[in-house]
Amino acid sequence: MYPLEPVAKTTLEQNTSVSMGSSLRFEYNMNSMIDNITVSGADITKTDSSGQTYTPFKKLFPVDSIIKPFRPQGAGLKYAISGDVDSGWKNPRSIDYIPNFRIYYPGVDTTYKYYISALNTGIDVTITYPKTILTNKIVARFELSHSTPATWTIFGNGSQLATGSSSAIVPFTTNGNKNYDAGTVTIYYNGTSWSTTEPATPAAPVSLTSVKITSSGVSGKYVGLIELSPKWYLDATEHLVSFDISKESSTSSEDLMPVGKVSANSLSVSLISYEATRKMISYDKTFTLDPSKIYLYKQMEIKPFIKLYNSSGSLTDSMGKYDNILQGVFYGDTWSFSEHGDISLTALDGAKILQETMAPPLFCENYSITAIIRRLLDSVGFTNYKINIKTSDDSIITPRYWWSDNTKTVWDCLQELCRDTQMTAVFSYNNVLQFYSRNWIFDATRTTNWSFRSESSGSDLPNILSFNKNDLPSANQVKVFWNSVSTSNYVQSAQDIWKSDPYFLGAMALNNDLLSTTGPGGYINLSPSVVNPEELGLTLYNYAGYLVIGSEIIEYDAVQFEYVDLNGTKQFVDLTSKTDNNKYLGLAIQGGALAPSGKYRIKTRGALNTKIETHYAAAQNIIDSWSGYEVTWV
Amino acid sequence: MRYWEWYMINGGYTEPTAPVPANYNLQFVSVIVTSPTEATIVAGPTTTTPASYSGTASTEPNFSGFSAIDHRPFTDPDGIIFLTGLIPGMKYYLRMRAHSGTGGTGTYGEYAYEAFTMPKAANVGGVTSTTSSTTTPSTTTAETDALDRAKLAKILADEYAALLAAQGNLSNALGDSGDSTSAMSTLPTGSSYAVSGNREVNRSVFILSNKYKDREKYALVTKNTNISTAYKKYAFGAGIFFESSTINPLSGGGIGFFTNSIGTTGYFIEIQTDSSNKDTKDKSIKIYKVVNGKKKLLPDSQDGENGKLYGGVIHSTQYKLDVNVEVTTSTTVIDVYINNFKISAADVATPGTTNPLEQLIAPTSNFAMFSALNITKFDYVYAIPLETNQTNDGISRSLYSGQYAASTINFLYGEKVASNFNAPSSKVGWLEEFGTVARELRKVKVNFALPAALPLYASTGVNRYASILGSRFSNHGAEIYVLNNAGTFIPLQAEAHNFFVEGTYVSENGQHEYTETTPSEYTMLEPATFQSMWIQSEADAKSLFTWIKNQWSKQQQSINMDIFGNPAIEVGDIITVNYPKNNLDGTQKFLVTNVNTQFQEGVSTSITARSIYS
Repeated sequence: MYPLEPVAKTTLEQNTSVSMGSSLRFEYNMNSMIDNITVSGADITKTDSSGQTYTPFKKLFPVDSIIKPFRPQGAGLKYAISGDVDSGWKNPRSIDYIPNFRIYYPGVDTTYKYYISALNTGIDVTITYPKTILTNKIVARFELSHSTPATWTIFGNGSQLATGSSSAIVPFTTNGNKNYDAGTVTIYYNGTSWSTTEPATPAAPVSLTSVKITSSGVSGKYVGLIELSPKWYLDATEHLVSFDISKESSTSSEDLMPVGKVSANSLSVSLISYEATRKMISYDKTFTLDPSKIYLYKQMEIKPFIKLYNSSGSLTDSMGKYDNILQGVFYGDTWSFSEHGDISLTALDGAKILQETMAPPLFCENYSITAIIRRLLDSVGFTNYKINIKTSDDSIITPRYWWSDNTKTVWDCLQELCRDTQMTAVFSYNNVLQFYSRNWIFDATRTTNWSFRSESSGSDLPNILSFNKNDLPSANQVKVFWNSVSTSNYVQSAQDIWKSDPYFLGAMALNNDLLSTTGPGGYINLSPSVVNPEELGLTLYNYAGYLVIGSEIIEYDAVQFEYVDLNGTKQFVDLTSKTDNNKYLGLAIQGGALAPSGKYRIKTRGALNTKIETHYAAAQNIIDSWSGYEVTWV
Repeated sequence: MRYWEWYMINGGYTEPTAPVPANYNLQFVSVIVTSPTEATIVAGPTTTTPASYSGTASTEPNFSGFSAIDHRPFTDPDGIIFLTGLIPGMKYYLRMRAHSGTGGTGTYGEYAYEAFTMPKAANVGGVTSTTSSTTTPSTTTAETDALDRAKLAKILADEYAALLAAQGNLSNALGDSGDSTSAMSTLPTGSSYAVSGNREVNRSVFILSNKYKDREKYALVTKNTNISTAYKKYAFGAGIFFESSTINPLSGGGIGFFTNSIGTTGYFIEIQTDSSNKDTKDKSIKIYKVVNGKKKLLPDSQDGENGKLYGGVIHSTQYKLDVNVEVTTSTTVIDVYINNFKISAADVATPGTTNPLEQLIAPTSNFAMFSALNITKFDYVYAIPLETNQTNDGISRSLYSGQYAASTINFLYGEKVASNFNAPSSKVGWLEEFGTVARELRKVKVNFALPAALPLYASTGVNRYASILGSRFSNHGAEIYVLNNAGTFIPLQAEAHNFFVEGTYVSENGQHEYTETTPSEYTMLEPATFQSMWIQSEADAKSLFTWIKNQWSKQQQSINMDIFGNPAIEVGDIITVNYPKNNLDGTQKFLVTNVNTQFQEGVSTSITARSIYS
């Protein structure tokens, strides 16, 4: 239930005349609207024993992760770094999980990633856009589980826009209540300057081509940055005709079981744009952003509000005081234009994100189902969820093994889990995915939120306009089918869970010196090193792969073949696939064939962080180093 | 070996004249070949100490000088005769006897006989550059093959010159050609092919050719590895293979250790193909001790039927030859592993003997490769002194697992970092591969056949040439980097070689059913089934069963209402409904399951709710 003030609720219950209005807000994330953005920030570097410098965390804490679409709404996911993990251990399998943040071991397959600075060092990250962006709101989000920087500064086009202290960063909790936007700093443009105060109405956006954030370092800590995104938000109310919001816990409310298929809340909006040159248009990434336009594009954020006028409203307009009741946060999905400028827009709630995100490979042993949900959502960086259970809740099952399926989305996985436990999952008005266990939600002892009546009751007026009651089927012979799973814990009983296809690993002698200056596009000239001369026509099995020469690894991406074309001319071609092979077979003279030339096209020198070197083919030196004799042993 | 036919022809043989001829009989006569043209003759002891020695070394066994190319009669006071100017490659016959008087006078005993062949340097073809015209040695047995190689070298040289020219380094390319007399060069030659005498390097393989069909003649190369000889244990090894049997049906060759610089002394391991065996008693693996060209087959563990190498040795297959050697004051123990099949032999010294053939061969830092029959190819060779604990721990045979045995690819934090590449697995050992080799590093990223598994490790089984440098597992798949650690193409997944991930699957054992009997057999049955995917215990099934039974065995009600516009109601809210005409008195609780809110010139709200009984 939306947390209405008592006066507002009384207004709804008892007033014979209640005034309500509406408003509609669009918000664009510039990081999603523009391609080829560059992000710069120092990577943590290490030096190995040979003096080679490498960046071991580059793929775990990549700086460009901060501009990915759908960043977590709040801090709370921490990857363990040696020396930066709190003492004590909290069992992640438990049904409930109290800490403000959850710690995971990192891995390359981790879907969700964020950026960290070096130890004791502050953040210094710059986003550069290939074209002008429009923004009147900039959101930065720190991963507070590492540290909270004392100060921060946000720049635009190299000039300081705003600076502040940690007090402007939303903490994990306020008065004991969890903040789902923890770690967030938001600055707004009010028409003349930038500050952390949101103006009453959105100001016209400013044009920028780069945004930068710096922060102070924290002694002995890393500073984590989840997101830095310039946004443009605007009020589209003047184009709003109507909207219709449908929220449901399950696709069918009349099945025997209350939770069948969990569905997303949806929003349908009717808009108008009757201008001679239409103001509201579909956005294409090739466009130059125009502040006089209102763009429609997928993933745009849409917030419908209903104004409830009442004497204690927190806001005021020409009709008096009102509360602006958010009806949810939706994301643009589809829209259509009529010939006259009538626009029909459909949007879905946050489930859309989860419906479009494939479940990462996860495997949980003896995790409670709430722990599985946490693990699943955390793995994709989805933090705005709340699991509502009773203190002693026997509806929370604990599968011995649970695993994700890489053909299913996160939402698919959640549906299965919710259905098996009859747990309800639905987005609340504030864009928090609420999970309600069956014991919690079907608890008749819960406080009644609303009372409906056909007739007056005291001061409360009747509030039922129409009524329909359906009697549903009941059941007294229930069967629950369940599955037992097992595996062997004994190494001795292990089996091949994967076996290679037939394959020969190649080794080729270097025919000519390979200079260190020979780069991508150049060739390595090799001859197969084989036991039998009959195999001299061999090539490596793959058209692309890696070769190790000395202490260097070289990535190649094509194998050169030669053939005689229909004119009798010898041709050399780089083949990258079997398809290429078949293609050039058709171009060869009749009965002709492709033969490997021994050359492999270089894609990367010094791959996997190895050192680029010159490699010599020095057979003469080798043979000269041995003394040959013909001897007789009798 | 005695040459009884000598006196039947001539040679001036006379019977012994000593009163007791046996007192002047030489126990042995030994020839120590010190170079292709020099040898030292050492007379063995006699019962009575002689005053002088006499004898003849001749290229003919008649000892008369007739038709001899080189004929050398001698007398000597101490029985140690230094011969110089001998003819390389020539076989010499030797006889020698002891005298009671000086200068070969007085009475004398019986002759002792010996024969020896001087080694011949095999680089008679000269050092040949490969970047211009190539001269193949006249001694080669495979002219056609050599011609092909020469053509290859020419092609490669041309390409290299073109490469350098394209890079503006034409002078270097030109200067690299035609230096056919250069000594060992410190500069790279720019080619993977070179030939000299009985040996050539081609495509990173060292090829040794023996032109002789005489099984006592060997083509051999030696090299001082400069390993320490102060150790008591050593490991030696090589990767050896023979060409296709259609080319050379008879093939044999091997390695030697503790050799002298010319290969006439040392321990030698010979491998020959099964088709090269002289008879059924012949062995594919033989361990020799050779002293001054005298060969002694050491008894080994193959003497019993069970000790023989099963499957024998065939062509076109690379053999991994690993030798562990332990040296004591009285015995040299030699354990030979051929593709992990073990053969043991021991050389036991005869106490008190001065006969070199019955003494142990002292460790030297020389290493030899030889071809006994036709062509033998070597992929790599190594020599490693070992600490005692290395063999006690059973790891010595693992010392050579390829050049990249210690290499790894670290996945831990995402950026794949290769380390220890090109680092020798032993810091004190010696390893040689015959050319710059580009080895394939295969990246494999796979999903397991079943959706969930508990992987343990990736393995190449007994295939020690394929090294897994790094692997990363999830419960759904794996990413593996596997390197060819040999110098030739090797099977990764073929024949007896397997590349796999070992682990266990999580398997579903079947479906269980949880239900309870109805209160009365006369009760009208209203069945309901619930098919679960993730309930995996009876307790969880029972909990759900109980909830369904309690919640849904009673008549369920679902209500739909259009209500006065309410923008604050949400799914999950609890409501009561007071509608007496529909038998709802305001005490029944309902759970809001659906909310529909419309704004169109005002707010309208409709909801759906279900009855709650628990």
